[in-house]
Amino acid sequence: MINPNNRLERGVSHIILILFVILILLPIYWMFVSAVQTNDNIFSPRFHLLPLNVDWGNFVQAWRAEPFGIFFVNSIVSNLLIVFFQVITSSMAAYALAFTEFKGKKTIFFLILMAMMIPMQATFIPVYIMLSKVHLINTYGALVIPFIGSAFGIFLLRQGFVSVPKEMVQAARIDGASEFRILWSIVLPNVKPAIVTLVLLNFVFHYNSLFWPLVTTNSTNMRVIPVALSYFLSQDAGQQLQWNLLMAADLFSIVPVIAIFLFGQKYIVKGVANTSLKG
Amino acid sequence: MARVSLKHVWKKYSEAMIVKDFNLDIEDKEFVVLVGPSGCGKTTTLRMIAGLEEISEGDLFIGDRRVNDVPPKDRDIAMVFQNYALYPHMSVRDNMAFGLKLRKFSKSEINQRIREAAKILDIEHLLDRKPKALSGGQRQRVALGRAIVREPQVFLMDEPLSNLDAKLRVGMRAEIRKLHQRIQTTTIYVTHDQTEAMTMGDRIVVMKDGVIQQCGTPQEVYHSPANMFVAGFIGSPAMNFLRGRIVEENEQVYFRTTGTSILLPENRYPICRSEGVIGQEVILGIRPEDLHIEDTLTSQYPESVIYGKVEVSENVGSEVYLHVTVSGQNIIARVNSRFYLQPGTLVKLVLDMNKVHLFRADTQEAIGVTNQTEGVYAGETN
Ligand SMILES: Nc1ncnc2c1ncn2[C@@H]1O[C@H](COP(=O)(O)OP(=O)(O)O)[C@@H](O)[C@H]1O
Ligand SMILES: [Mg+2]
Repeated sequence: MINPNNRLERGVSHIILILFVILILLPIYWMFVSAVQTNDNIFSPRFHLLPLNVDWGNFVQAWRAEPFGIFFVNSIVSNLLIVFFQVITSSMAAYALAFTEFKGKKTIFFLILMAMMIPMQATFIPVYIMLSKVHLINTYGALVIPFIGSAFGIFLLRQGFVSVPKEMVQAARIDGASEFRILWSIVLPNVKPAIVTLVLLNFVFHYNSLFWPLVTTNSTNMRVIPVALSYFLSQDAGQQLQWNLLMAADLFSIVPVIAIFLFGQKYIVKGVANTSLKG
Repeated sequence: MARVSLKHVWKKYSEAMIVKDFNLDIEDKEFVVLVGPSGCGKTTTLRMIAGLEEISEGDLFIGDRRVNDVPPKDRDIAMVFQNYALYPHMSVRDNMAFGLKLRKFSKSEINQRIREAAKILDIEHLLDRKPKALSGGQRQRVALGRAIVREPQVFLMDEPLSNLDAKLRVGMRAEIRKLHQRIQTTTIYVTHDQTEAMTMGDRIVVMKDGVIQQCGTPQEVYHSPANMFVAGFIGSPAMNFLRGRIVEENEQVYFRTTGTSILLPENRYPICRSEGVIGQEVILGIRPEDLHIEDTLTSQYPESVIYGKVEVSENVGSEVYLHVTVSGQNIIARVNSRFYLQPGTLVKLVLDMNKVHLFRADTQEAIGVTNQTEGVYAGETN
């Protein structure tokens, strides 16, 4: 099977992949190097790949600089709520689009596609006004409610759902299952990659988002991680920014994201491969 | 178990008429096969019976109940799909149990039914496997098993054998028949394969373009096709057609085509006269096995002989299919394998005149066979 040509091809593609991996890992490595050094050493004119000094205390100092415990809880809870509700709403909408017939289905699908093109920033002000009218500003409600329905989520799951044979759903209907039961027992178990993809993309997107939590919360105990990280950038003018502490805080901030990726990586590859190719 | 009745059933997709005025009464315990070329509306009809497709017009009865507006799960039917539609994430056992659990059967009842069905279908050793770990034939059995355990009033099967290889298909054909004899559930079976229809159906319904062409036992449909479509669709190789004219001379009625006249049997005269086809253009149909080449026969019935030239001889082992041109028209004769003839050979073929079919050239309807769906036929063909 493996002829010399093939081996050469594989060697070349491996080298290219390795270069890409280095390219991607280099900034993270640099974050790590910066996080354990003193601020002065980071900017030392002497080029160094290894840290000039190693001070694990930076992590402790960064953690203590702000109430990160609260921020972690806020970020994780609000994001899990968003993801949870979005999986529910998106899967129900996607089910209707993929497996039922009703008048205006094409129009609705088209509108959902259109909705995906509206930049989120364009909706921030009206949504903010609505939330403030119902006194939800500076609550989890402000962080979560605007995102429990998502055109992208519906689209992503719908693309995953159409890969499930319609006959399977019909067989379940004949077997006596309700539509909810079919969604839960027949469809969802067969679209795990799409669900995991939605969970991951969503979690990462909202975990990273700064602007919306920044404007809709104002007390420290409602802040989330990205807002906390921005504190490191806004220290008093004149005083040097604490890059080493910022990098240390960045590092422990991405732990949940890395964890969730490790958990879902085998699915996300499948999910992306499945959903992007089919119409 | 129950009767199924379709009364003036139509299916329309916006402008397109997919099923037109479909009338059929299926008796309790009957095995009825819907057959026709692909795209003729068989699946649509079956799905309307299942409740997966809305009935545009007309009435559907299962038992004594009008079920047009009854959802699939309450119609007490089970369906076997062409692609089996097994639940891939469940074991064979769970696939079979799913419908029963939803209907709140007791655990012991479920196990009992699964055990029985698995035994009948010989899949006892596969119960804990997932569908992915099964061969095509085994999946087919599981799909049947899932239908059997429900003990429904009616089985609906949509081309269940078309994904199997030829050999397995022949085996499963017999097995499904045996299964039906054993559990006697009313069955509606869809296929595009006329051999499958002929071998499996108590009754077969031949469809074309959403319209029933004929309905009857395999014998009726084979021996008294109601029109040229049925005549040509059922039987392999297909029936031969010769275009010609009916003429009457000296009180005798002939079929005349370029260069040849064939004397019709006397029992056909009254029909030809009463149907007013004397002097009209007609199509004569004769099945390949009703053409004979033996000298004894050709000399015995000289007025039923046609002359032609062999184009190809196809040896299928026990027999030879002679492709012959008769005054510019191609026909096939199915003869003993010792008549393997070289291309170009001139041959005399004698028609078994009692097996000849006549069709009107304009409507393509059989002359002397009333076209109706109950498979009753007038006339003396056969
Ligand atoms: N949802 C639909 N909309 C429009 N036309 C359809 C639809 N479903 C089936 N058809 C058409 O109905 C005809 C019959 O289809 P079908 O019942 O599947 O045929 P068969 O099973 O006999 O091959 C086909 O021409 C098909 O294109
Ligand atoms: Mg079909």
